[in-house]
This record gives sequence, C-alpha cells and structure tokens, in this order.
Amino acid sequence: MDKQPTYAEIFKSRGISRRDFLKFCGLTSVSLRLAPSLLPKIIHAMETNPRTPVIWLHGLECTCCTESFIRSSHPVMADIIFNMISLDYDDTLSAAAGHQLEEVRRKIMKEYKGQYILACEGNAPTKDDGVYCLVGGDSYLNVLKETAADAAVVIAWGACATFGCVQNAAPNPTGAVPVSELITDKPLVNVPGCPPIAEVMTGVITHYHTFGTLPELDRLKRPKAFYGTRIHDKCYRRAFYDAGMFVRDFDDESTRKGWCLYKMGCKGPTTYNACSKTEWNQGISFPIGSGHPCFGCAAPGYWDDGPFYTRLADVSFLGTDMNADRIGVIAVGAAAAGAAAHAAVTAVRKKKTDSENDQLEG
Amino acid sequence: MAKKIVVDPIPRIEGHLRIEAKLGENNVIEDAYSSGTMWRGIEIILKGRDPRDAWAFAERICGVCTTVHALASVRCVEDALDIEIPKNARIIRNLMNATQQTQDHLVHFYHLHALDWVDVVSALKADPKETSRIAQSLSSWPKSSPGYFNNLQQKLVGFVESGQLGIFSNGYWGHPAYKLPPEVNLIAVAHYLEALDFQKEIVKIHTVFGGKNPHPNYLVGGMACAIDPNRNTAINIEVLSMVKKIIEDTKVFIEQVYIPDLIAIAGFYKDWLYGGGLGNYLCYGDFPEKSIDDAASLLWPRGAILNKDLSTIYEVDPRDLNQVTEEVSHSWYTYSNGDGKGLHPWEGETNPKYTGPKPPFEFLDTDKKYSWLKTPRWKNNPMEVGPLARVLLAYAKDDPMITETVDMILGKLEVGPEALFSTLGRTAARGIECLQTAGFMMHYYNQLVDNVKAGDLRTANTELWDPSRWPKEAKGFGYTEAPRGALGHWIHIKDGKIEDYQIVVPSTWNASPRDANGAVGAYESALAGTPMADPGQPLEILRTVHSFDPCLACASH
Amino acid sequence: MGRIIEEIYVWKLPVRMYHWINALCITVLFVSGLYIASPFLNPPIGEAVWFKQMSIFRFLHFTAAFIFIANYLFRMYWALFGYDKYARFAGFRPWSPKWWGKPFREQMASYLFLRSDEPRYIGHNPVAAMSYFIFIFLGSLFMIFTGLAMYGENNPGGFTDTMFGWLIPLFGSSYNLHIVHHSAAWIFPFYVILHLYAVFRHDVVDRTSVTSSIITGYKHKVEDEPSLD
Ligand code: HEM
Ligand code: HEM
Ligand code: NFV
Ligand code: SF4
Ligand code: SF4
Ligand code: F3S
Ligand SMILES: [Mg+2]
Repeated sequence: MDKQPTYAEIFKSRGISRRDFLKFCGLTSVSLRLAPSLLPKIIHAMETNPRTPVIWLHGLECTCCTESFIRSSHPVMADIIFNMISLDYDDTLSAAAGHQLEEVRRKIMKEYKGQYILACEGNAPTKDDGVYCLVGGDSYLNVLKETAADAAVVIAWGACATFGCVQNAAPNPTGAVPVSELITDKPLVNVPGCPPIAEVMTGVITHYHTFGTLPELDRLKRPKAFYGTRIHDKCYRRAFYDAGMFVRDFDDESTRKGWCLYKMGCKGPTTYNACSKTEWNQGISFPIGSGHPCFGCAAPGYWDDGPFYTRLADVSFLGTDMNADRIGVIAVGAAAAGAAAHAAVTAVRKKKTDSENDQLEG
Repeated sequence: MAKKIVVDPIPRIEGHLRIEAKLGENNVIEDAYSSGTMWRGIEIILKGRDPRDAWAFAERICGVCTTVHALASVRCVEDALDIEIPKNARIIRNLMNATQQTQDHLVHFYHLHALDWVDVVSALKADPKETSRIAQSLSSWPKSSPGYFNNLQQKLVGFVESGQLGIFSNGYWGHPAYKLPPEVNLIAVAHYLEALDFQKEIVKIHTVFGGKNPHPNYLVGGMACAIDPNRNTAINIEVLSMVKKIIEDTKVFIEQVYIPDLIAIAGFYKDWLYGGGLGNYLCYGDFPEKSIDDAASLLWPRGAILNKDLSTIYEVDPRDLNQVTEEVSHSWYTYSNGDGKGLHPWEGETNPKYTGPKPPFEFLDTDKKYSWLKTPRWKNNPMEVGPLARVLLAYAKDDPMITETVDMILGKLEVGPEALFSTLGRTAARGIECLQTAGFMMHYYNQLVDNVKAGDLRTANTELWDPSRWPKEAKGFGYTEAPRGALGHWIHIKDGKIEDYQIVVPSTWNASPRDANGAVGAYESALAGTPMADPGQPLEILRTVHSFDPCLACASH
Repeated sequence: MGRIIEEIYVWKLPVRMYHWINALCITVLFVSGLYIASPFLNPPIGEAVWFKQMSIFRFLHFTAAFIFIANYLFRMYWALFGYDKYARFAGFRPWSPKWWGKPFREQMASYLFLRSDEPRYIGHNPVAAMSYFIFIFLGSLFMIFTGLAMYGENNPGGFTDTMFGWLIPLFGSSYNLHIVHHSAAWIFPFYVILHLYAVFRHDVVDRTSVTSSIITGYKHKVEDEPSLD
C-alpha cells in the first residue's frame, strides 16, 4: 500500500497556504466546540493522517441519513469528502455501478485491511435468509458481515442502524435488526436519530479523524458529545415546563406563546439528542422549536412507544388498549370491591356465629 | 445467443435496484428487467396504529423525497375524517412541497445524474480561461472567473493525485459515450460542488415550518408551527425574512446555474435520443389553490395521456375502483384471489412471499416473479409518472408558464417537442419543472404573508383531533405529485385505528415488473432498444434509469 | 366474649415512626408522581396555578423519595439488627416449605372463609408478612431503583447515574423506565386498600386493637383466643 498524503500535504498540493491550513484547523475545532488548547493536536492530526477510507453501506433504510449528512454546514460536505475522508464506496454518490462498484469495496477491504471505517445506514433483515434486502445478488446480511470483518471501526448511522427504526417496529415483517446485534467484535459507534443531525454525523467522523480515537461513548454506544443529555434538559421551553404552562391544543394561544409541549406527548424528557442545543440545518430550528412535540426519534424503540401525541403510552393489556393509569384504577377499584365483598361475607358469618354463640349461651 | 448483463448495485439512486438486460445484436438491449430488491413492510407495520401518527411512519419510507409521504398521509387521514385544514396550513404545505421539489430536482441533476454525462477526469484538461468564457456566455452567475476555475482545477488535480478518488473511484471516465469538452466538464464539476453546498440552504424552509430536514414534522389537521408576527415564540418577520431570502437565492441558483447547465450539457447529447419508453403518462395533480378536494384548483393538473397523444387528455379518478390497481403476477407477493388480478388500493393486500433464487445468485428468474415492487396500472395501462408526465400534461393543456419554458429550452436546443419523449427529455422536464417550483415558492410566500397580514394566524384545525369524535369507519385517499411522480395513500380507518393502509408510489409505477399480460413498465420499456458501447460498462443503462430518478425505498416500501 | 387479659407491646417506637413516615411518603410520592405524569392543575385558560408549579411537584416527589429511601433503609436495619422480636425478619422464611405449610395455609384458609376460626398472631401473620414483602419490600425497592435511575438522568455521569443508570438499557430506554415506574406506582394504592381493610377487619373480628397498635404500640391479648405466635 502506498503511503497516503496527509491533510497538510493535501493542502500544500492544492496550493493552500499554511496560514489557511491553520485557519481550517481552527474552524474545525470551533465547529466541534473543542477547547482552544486542543488546537495544536488537530493541526498535528491533519498534518500526519491520510484520508481514511470509508465504505458506506445501505441496508433497509430511506437514505435520509445520507441526506442529512450532506446538509452539514460545519464542516461542509465537500470538505469532508475531499479533505477528510475518502468516501470510496457509497451507493448514493458513487460514480461506478454494478461490479465496478463492488470491485471498489473489495479493493478497500483488501488494501486497507483493518483501517477503513464501515459506515452503516439502515439495517439488515434477518428473516428468510435476508431476502428482504439484496445487494449485487447477495443478501445485505452477508455483505454487511463480510465488509465489517476487516473494518477498523463501525459507525451505525441513524435510527435504523442503531436501534432498528420503522422497519423494526411491530410486527417487524422482515426481522430487521440493528447493526450492533450483528457486528459484535468491532468498535462501534451508534449515532441515533431519524435522521441524526448533520453536524453530529460529521462531528463523529471529524472527531475520529482528528483525535485518532472514537469519541467517548455512553452505555448505548452513543457519543457523549452529542447524546450526553436529554432534549428536555436543554430545551428553551423548559421554563414553561417548570412553571406548569403547557400547550393543550395545537390550535390554541398557548402554541403561539411557545409553551411546553409535554402534554402534547413531547418525548424530550426521555430522549437523548442534540436537537435542543445544536438544532437542525445550521441552527434554524428543531421539532419543538417549530411547535411539534419531540416524538423521540433518537430513542430506542420509539415507534412502539404508543401514540406519539400522548404522554403515557397505551400499553396493550390483555388484548385491550388500556394505559397504566386505567389498569391501575381498575386494579385499585377491584381491590376495594374485593375488600367490600369480603367484609360483607365476614359480617354475615360473624352474625351467624354470634347468634350460634347466643343460642349456646342462652 | 442473447447475452445477459446485470447492473446491481445501481448507485446514485435511493434504495436497491437491479437491472438485468438481454443484449441482442450490436449490443442493443432487447429486453430489460427491473427488480426492486428491498422491502420493509411499512403497509403492514401501519396496521392497527393511530391514524394521526401515520404520517411519521410513512415519511420514513424515504428521506430523499422526505415530506411527500407525510403530506400524502395527512391528506388521506384528513380526507377520511373530513377535516378542513386552515388556509395557512395549506399554504405552508404547498411551500414545503415546492421546496422539496426544487431541492430534490437540483440534487438529482448534479449529484445523482450528472456523472452519467460529465467526465470528471476530463475536466483536468480544461483551459480555465476558455472555461470562464463559456461559463459567462451561459449565464450571469458570478462565480465564473478564470481564477475561480483555475483554483478548482488545481484542487481537482491534487485530489486525483492523492490516489484516493473517493466517490469517483472506478467511474467510467474516458468512456466513448461521454461527449462534453473538458471545459464544460469543468463547469459541471464546479457546479456539482456549488450545488452540493447550496442544496442544504433550500431545505431550511422545511426546518422553519417542520422543525427539521430531512423528515420535517406534519400534523393531521394542519401544521404544528405557530405564526404570530407579534411574538418571539412563534414564526415572526425575522424568520419569514429568512424564508424569503432563501427563496430568492434558490430562484437565482436554478435560473443561473441549473438551467444553463442543463441546456449546455443537453446540447452535446442531442443525438442521444434513446429511452422514450411507454408514451403513457399519469398525473394526480398537486398544489391546491383552494381545498385539496377541489381538483380544479390544482396548479399542477390531473389527467392521463396515452400513446404520446397530447391532443387527448383522459380524466383520472384515483377513488374509482377500476382505475388505479396493483397486481403481483411478477412480484414477490401473493393475493388471496389470484396474483394477476389488479386490486384497487382500498381493496389492496400486502402478503410478502419471496420465490426468487436463494442468495447469493447470479441471475433472477425473470420469467417468474422477480421484484419487491407491485405492478400498478391505470385502466390496465402501464404508465410513466414524474416530471415528464407533468410537463407533458401541462404542455398539452397549454399552461402558459410551462409552455413558455418548454419552448424556450427546445428553442435553445433547436429540437422539436418530440425530443421530449426520451431520456434527455425526462431530464429536461425535471429542470423545467424545477424552475417552475422555484417560482411557486415565492408565490406561496406571498400568499402566506398576505394571509397573516389579514389577521389569520390559524395553522391547525383540531376540532376532530380526538378519536372519540371520529366515525366508526372511514376511508380516505391522499395524494401529491412527489418529485418522482404521482403518489397516492389509501387509508381505511376503523374504531380509531388504521385497518388498512396502501401506498402506490411514483417509482412503483416506473420501476414495476411486467404485468400478467407481459406488458412492461416504464424503466423496462425505456431501456429496450438502447445500444451499449461496451456491455461491461453500463453507462447507457445508468443514463436512462437515472433519468427517472429511481427511489426504491419508496417503490417497495 | 373475650375479655382483655394482657396488653402486649408489639410495635416499638421506631417501627411506628417508620410506619407513619412511610405512609406519608407513599401518599406524597403517589400523588406527586401522578401529577408529574399528567399535570392536571393546568386549567383551560392555561395559566399555571402557582409559580414553578411543575417544579414544586417534582421537588415534593424527590424530597419524599429521599425520605422514603432513608426510612426504608432504616427499616431494613431494624429488621436485621434491631432488638425487636416482632419487627425482625427472623420469622419470615418464604424459602422454607414449612413456612408455606400450615401457618400460611391456615391464615389463607381463614381469609377465604374456609375455616371459621382465626389463627392469632401477635406480630405479622404469614399472609400479611408475605404481602409486606411483595408490595412493600420488593415494590419499594423497585420504585427506588427505577426512580434513582431516572433521577440520575438529570446529571449523566454523576453519582446517581453511575450507580443506577445501568438500569436504563436494561429496560430498553428512558421512556420505558418511566412507564414501568409509573405502572408500578399503582401497587401502592392497591396495597393500601387491602392493608386497611385487613387491619380494620382484624380489629372487628378479633378485637385485638390492631388499628390503634400502630399508634400506641400495644395489642391486646383476649381471653379464649389461643395465640399461635
Ligand atoms: C400508605 C399507607 C400505608 C402503608 C404503606 C402501610 C404499610 C404498613 C407496613 C409495611 C406495615 C408493617 C409494619 C412493619 O412491620 O414495619 C404496616 C403495619 C400496620 N399498619 Fe400500615 N400502612 C399504611 C397505612 C396504614 C394506616 C392508615 C393504618 C391505620 C389506620 C395502618 C395500620 C397498620 C397496622 C395496625 C399495622 C400493624 C399490622 C399487623 O399487626 O400486622 N397502616 N403497615
Ligand atoms: C411509592 C413510591 C413512588 C411512587 C408511587 C412514584 C410514582 C411516580 C410516578 C407516577 C411518576 C410519573 C412517571 C411518568 O409518568 O413519567 C414518577 C416519576 C418519577 N419518580 Fe417516582 N415514585 C415513587 C418513588 C420514587 C423514588 C423512590 C424515586 C427516587 C428518586 C423516584 C423518582 C422519580 C423520578 C426521577 C421521576 C421522574 C420525574 C420526571 O419525569 O421529571 N420516585 N414517580
Ligand atoms: N418514488 C418516490 Fe419518492 C418521490 N419522489 C415518493 O413518493 O422518492 Ni424517495
Ligand atoms: S434512521 Fe430514519 S432517517 Fe435514517 S435511514 Fe432510517 S428511516 Fe431514514
Ligand atoms: S417542550 Fe418537551 S423538551 Fe421542551 S421543556 Fe417541554 S417537555 Fe421538555
Ligand atoms: S423527534 Fe427527533 S429530531 Fe430531535 S426533537 Fe425529538 S429527537
Ligand atoms: Mg404499496
């Protein structure tokens, strides 16, 4: 394998001055919201690292993750694919098709054995030998496993790859499972969201490339830098939540007053994502910012967490649709009724024994 | 003996598409088979759920045409429950839809289609001065100095010399079917990058009203975003001004970059007139100026054209049980009353049953079932849907705006209207349409501002929000003209839950397998008759297939 | 009819204190918990009834929660190490077939009117002990663990999160954790109703002044009623 040029060399070969190069490093660190003291490290990384090859596979998905990725404003897409990574295989953007495209994948797997990033968009159906997603005449299930075997790192993009997303919602007709259930022997980063925020996606790539390590992950393998806290903890409507001022109807003054969407089913209190901080599409807004409750698109299994516009899910109970409170009230009512009945029987019995006693005594 | 070639995976589309083609003499495609090789079962997953949530599930069918399934979905629920949405909501939805069309078409042209016509490597040989001269002759777009192109070319040189070609790896560079001079290739590469950067601006309009893109939020009954010019907690003039600015910039980009590039590139491929295909076109129409029920108020009309005959326009009624149907004689599904019998979506069934070869395999059994797509028909006719269908229908109806643009472009290319029935015609129609939807955006912006000025701040009608106020049973139809064509959602609500949900998607129409009578769909028909310069390099197949802008996640769902 | 022949000091002060603190905490936790789940004090006009309304209910919930936890820990201490024969865990042997045998069955049979006589206990009868174990001992433990896991989410990586956050992936998601915590909350009113009924009933049937015993500490031994203790 030839030695790959580093960022610094790439910049130089393109006639970009060292000053501009340093500026670029600075901007990257700003976009990642890193401490200024880390700047020298970024510069060093960019001076010494070649562009990391990336194989980006698509399974059962909707390509919104790719669409989100190309919306990144810092860094921008062109910067990423020309200066940071080498996006050698990606069905959405690659020029080559068919066996020419598959050849690229095989080449990267061989020449960069153990060095490439495998980025997964979508997940793999496991039912019926994986026939619900076929790529190049093979099951996506096989392609995924084959490509993961020699990857350095696996990145699972979006709700599909991380937690299963819509195709994994009940009854999951294709047996779609998250990547982490299929690839268990590689460092893996989960980047949930449907889709994830653009800058979060590119942030993961840039972090890896810049620091040479994966970002620190939480229990669900999500980068803490973006998924460390809940939407609710950074939500600008939180003051209304605390005060108990809630939107009760979408066609109401309270919606225009921007009150808290908790009672409209907002899942911000249980969803870990960067929406309320980074916001979407260069900080324009986020679901709650535009009046719609968060429905938890970055949370595991959110499709089956009951109707979106209710706070507490209707959990299916004995075939009916009752929520926990309804069941609770019924159970407590039953207990009270049972106690009353028991009391009645006790009273009757007692009367009987008392009169028997009376007879005996009398 | 006929030679069979396979193109799979097909890049620069959405989802998983496989083309198998039989080549005859001189490597001319005799027969093509289009197979959708993914299926998720969204129609099944939607069953039993809350109809108010359906839009979110449906929207996840596709992130490229994000929005359109959500729109069709809320429309079908509102249709079933008889909910009239407020005026602002209608305008905002139209604006979001126009935004989607514009952005989707732009991305398609540059990032999904251009590399079929543009040889990136040839751009290395371009003379920046000459490039600048050509660029300036095409439009007044300011980024066209020799220095600009020189700089870009240097970057490109460095990129190629790094040895890591990324997305350009193993492309068909130097293929004889590429006809552009190096300078035009360099312009196209420059605009590939500019469009990549610019597309993300357009969708910010979705973010304003829907909170995010991809996958902005919708609401049964209207939109969740609040408008109030006198509050800092709702959409006010600052936000509206941003929307306006984006619309203005978008229009400039389409007018000064996309359309001139389209004309310049098409000019070099005038004699590549393959890929016409079926000649049958179907539109449901969209962009209601009044209610969505009022087909007469649609800015994009409804209707069908058969056999390229623009003089007769057929009326279309997607609620009629005998018009739009789907059958599964060549699809991996079964119907309880026979696979070859077409079912209207209100009577539709989704029972998957894979009968293809066990993977890994070399070829599909194209004589039998070979796709995860159903086969939709309009009155038993295979139909093409999409920009070309819409442009032809509007042209046939003498829509002034479309007629003017079509004539302008045909005039510049010095070809007649018959040139539209081709791969390039389809690509040109998309550009024409994009120019129109970019215009729509400002139209809706103005409507919105006028309505707010008149004191109307309502964005949602929640009278029927609560399921207790719904009828016990109801059926609805929701539609939109998605970027790739006519999209319909048919819902059956029972006891407040989704009893049945059927989706017939533009790419299902276009990419469908044969029907029981052996009649082919739009892709298969368009590919037949195309000669291939080198059967090992499927550039011609990519061109025609890409001209439809395939979306297979949509098509099979 | 039985005459009081002996007063027995059953519930020592620490147990009585525990009992009433626990009863108070559970009441506050249940009400404030339901309020958090569904802030019903939000009237149609939309104004909050008082400033920081939601915060106050959450504050009440968390304050009660920590008292509840401390009280629970104290009761565990008392059960294991307290010098108190009626309040110890010693007699509670659900793992032993013997325990499930005669005494439990006899008590159960009596509750189900299958026996006319009532077995008599000074401390907990085995059925009561079992219900305390399931509803109070395990139920509280469940509420405490799930509650602390949610509480830890306020400060990811902090002490509570480090100690209890591992529960979140166990339940799948933070949302599921809320659901199970919320659903399990209904154990308490369910239990309290049965508990109160049992207490009052025993009082009426055996006239042992069980009810006042949790206040005064004393139960009465009544003539003709042999103790099974
Ligand atoms: C939230 C409400 C309540 C809860 C959770 C509760 C729980 C308990 C528990 C756990 C015990 C066992 C004591 C121990 O061994 O530590 C107990 C015993 C007792 N409680 Fe309660 N209690 C509640 C309310 C009440 C009330 C309102 C009364 C009286 C009016 C009461 C009367 C008693 C009596 C008399 C005993 C002793 C029962 C025996 O001899 O077995 N409790 N309660
Ligand atoms: C008898 C015991 C308890 C009952 C009945 C109870 C009840 C509830 C209920 C009904 C909720 C609302 C859940 C939802 O729908 O989101 C809740 C929330 C909560 N509870 Fe408890 N709880 C109990 C004990 C505890 C304990 C011991 C803790 C420990 C800190 C705790 C911490 C919490 C927290 C953190 C929340 C979430 C509050 C929020 O969403 O802001 N709970 N509880
Ligand atoms: N075909 C299709 Fe779509 C579109 N346009 C949807 O309806 O792309 Ni994803
Ligand atoms: S995670 Fe959501 S946005 Fe991404 S591919 Fe899956 S469905 Fe699409
Ligand atoms: S809108 Fe949602 S995330 Fe924001 S404060 Fe209210 S409940 Fe929390
Ligand atoms: S729905 Fe998704 S986009 Fe953010 S606000 Fe909620 S996680
Ligand atoms: Mg369908």
